[in-house]
Amino acid sequence: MPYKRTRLTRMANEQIRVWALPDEIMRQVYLHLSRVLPNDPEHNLIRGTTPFVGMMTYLTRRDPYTLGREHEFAFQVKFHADEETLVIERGSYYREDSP
Amino acid sequence: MLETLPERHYRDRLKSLGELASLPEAARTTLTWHDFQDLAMLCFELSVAGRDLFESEFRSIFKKAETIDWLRERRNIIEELTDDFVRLAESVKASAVQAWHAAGRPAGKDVASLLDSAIKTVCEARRSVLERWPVGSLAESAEADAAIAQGETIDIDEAFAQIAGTDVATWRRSFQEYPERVQ
Repeated sequence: MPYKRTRLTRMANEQIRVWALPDEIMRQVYLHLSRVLPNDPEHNLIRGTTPFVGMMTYLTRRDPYTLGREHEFAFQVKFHADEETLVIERGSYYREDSP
Repeated sequence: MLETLPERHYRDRLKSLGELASLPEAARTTLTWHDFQDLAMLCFELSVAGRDLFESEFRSIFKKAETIDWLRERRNIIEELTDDFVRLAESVKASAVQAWHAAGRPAGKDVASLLDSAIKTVCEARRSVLERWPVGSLAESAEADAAIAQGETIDIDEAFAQIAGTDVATWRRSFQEYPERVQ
């Protein structure tokens, strides 16, 4: 079932701001969280045994400017009680440089 | 709680060192000054291994793309291993001090500071990794739930526009042809 919108907790918002992502990667993260995820949660969310505690969504993007660099993300996602909104509670970011 | 192989290996190392450090009283009095230096050095090595383990667990998040249950388990184990390590290092320190007093010698500051540094290494690694962990503690999660229920969340367009240093309308407009450009 598609969702209408995505919202962020203050913590997730602050985390993304602090990551200081390159413009292109920030746009990719935005697209994933605001369009891809709400449109197709079934294929983009990993559910645990107790979905009410949240689910995970992951994405990896290759850096368009630096060869061998990948930007990896993991976000904890919750369904809002209104059943129309996905909430990004918290995230993790890792930048991997392969030789 | 299921442990990964590196977690189990680290716990075994902690246990092994713990057994050496908690010898029966009679045997402990036979430990020499050098034995305590060795124990402190082993603790220090274990603290570096602990820091590496926690960082490696963090990197594995993105390779394994696991469930929230798995992430929460890892988080709990990192907490547990840190607590076990701190207990061990404190116990080695206490035994060393006791031995020096029994021998009528002043406490060796180098051993004590090595152990303090080992404790700091592991605690700092835990703090750093768990701060970046994608799943919070139960208390943090409950706090987030309360904030979500009270509507204390931010619209994603607004959030990203702010981060990008622009207004929402400009941010949205910049995506009108964007998907075609990035595919």
